[in-house]
Amino acid sequence: MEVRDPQWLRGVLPLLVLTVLTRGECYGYDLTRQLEAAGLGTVKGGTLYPVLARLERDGAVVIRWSEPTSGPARKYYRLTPAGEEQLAAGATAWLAFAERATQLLRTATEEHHDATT
Amino acid sequence: MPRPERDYVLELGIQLRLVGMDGPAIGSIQEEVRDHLDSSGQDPREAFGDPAEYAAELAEVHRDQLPARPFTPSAGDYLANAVQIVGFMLVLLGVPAAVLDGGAPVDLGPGHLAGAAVVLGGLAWPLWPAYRGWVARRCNVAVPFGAMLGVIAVSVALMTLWTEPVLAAVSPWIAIVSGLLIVAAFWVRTWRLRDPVRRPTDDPVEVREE
Repeated sequence: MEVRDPQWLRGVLPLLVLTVLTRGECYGYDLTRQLEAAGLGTVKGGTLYPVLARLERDGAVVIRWSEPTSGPARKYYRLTPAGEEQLAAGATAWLAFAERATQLLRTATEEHHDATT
Repeated sequence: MPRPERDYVLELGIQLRLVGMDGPAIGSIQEEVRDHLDSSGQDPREAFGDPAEYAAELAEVHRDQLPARPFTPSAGDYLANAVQIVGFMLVLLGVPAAVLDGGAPVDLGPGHLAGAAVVLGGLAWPLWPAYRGWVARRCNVAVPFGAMLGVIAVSVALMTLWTEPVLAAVSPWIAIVSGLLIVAAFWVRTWRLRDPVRRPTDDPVEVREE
């Protein structure tokens, strides 16, 4: 499924990033690949890294640098206990919100369908 | 790293400096951008957008830690520059007097004070704004260069033409030595304030085999 409106993804992106990080530490480009593989579309670097910077600032993730034998160094992100709490609370709130939004949209769609048939 | 990517990273570094990021933070952000571009093969502007806008977005994340008016000289900076200008003037006036005039005293007139004031005023406007505009890619290099030539021309004209009355006569050797000391003190201050961009791996990190 392709996400049509980038704004939908922007709002929930911090939670999705934290979710991917529950599988283990990860670097930026790998995160974008995992999100894309999950059917969430392409997340640009200019969108992802400010989100990661906010999570790092808020203590939801910690970082470490890895020096390759050649090429640029790589920044890895790892979930912290504070990040796990943020994810748990955020996921509950998001699921409740999504459920209500879905119910509302479903009702409106059904009413529209009934009115046109 | 190919030239477009290298240019983008350099431009991003300038824009991050302009929003007030320090050298180590700039180095970390640049390195992460390099790694992303290296791994993905994406076009830098496609992946990260305009460097100025990306820098502004990152600055927003760290707003509390950044200066309110970054890359803006303080009153202390202006004062230090004023003192440095006086130091340069003393050397420039003392050397010809010592070498060509056989050690004749240096006559300081109102033109010297006015010339120094013009250079100092020029730092506030137009020299510094023109320089900053050029760094931020908002104008051509001819603008700060032209502003500098204009300020110097006015200053030299004042010092040359407005020589009477003589306010003080100073030994050229005293002028040279004190001027050099002032200039040296300014450069020591500048050296201590420097904040170079550093790669994050300047600190010890593990080595990854790839």
